Amino acid sequence: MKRTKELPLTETVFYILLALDGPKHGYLIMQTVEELSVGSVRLAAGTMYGALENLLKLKYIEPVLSDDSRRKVYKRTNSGDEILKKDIDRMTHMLNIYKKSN
Amino acid sequence: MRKIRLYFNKFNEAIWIKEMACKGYVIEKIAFFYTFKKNADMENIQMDYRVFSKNKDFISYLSFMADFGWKHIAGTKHSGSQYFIHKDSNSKELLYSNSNSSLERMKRFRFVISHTLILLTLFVFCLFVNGTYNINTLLNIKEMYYTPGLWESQGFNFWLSLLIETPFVFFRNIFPYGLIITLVIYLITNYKINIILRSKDQ
Repeated sequence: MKRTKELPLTETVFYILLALDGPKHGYLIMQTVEELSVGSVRLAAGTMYGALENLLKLKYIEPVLSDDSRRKVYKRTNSGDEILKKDIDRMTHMLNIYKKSN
Repeated sequence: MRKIRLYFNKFNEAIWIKEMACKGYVIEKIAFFYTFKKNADMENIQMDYRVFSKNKDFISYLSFMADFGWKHIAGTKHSGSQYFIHKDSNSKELLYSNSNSSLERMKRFRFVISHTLILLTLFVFCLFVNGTYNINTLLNIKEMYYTPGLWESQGFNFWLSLLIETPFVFFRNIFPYGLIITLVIYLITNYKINIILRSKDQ
């Protein structure tokens, strides 16, 4: 089974990557994550900033040139798309084996 | 109002700043001394620790935090400690929502301290080699005072001379003692980080 040391993704990383189905700036990502997780994952400002820095370093996201020069807008990169898909596959497999045995 | 205090450990500094805030004094500027503004209703002061090399990055960090409602009240791109207050004065929100990211803040502080430690060590080592300091003078406090006849004088003359020379003595010896203090801060911070990491592995 293909396994890299980046998997499994943490909840924070997973939700941020998932929220970036289109380019978004930091505050909007936080709101999207809160909606998607039905309020269970609420990212504070410092946590969010650090998470975005990490994702930039890992090259899972990249900044997008926007007209709002003060606010940085981010989008997923190709490797960001890949790692998200890998994690979804991993979780889907786990759900499937659970369903089979019940 | 201004106060002079020397904080090597930024986390202790943050505790003091919050205490002052509870007394009604909000931090306004951190340069060589701490400048406070008297204001009764600001209690939720949070500290982040981040250093920036480019002013552009610092500004985008500040506008990022502002989007989340955090007003920057003190800190510069090099100062490390950044103090924020929430624009909603009743909000009890924190800057960090999970322990991992809060640990990252401590690691950033340790990183800067470790660099300071290396530079200070090199500097003090050079000063030892060229004879500016030696073990004898550093341990014997009386020899740090150059005023002739200081320790033989008494009463008012003694206290006056002591008081005048003490700031000079302090700054003259700040490097080797500062080095020891920085080393202690580094070891304590490192220990705290390792404790947290070890408890996570369980």
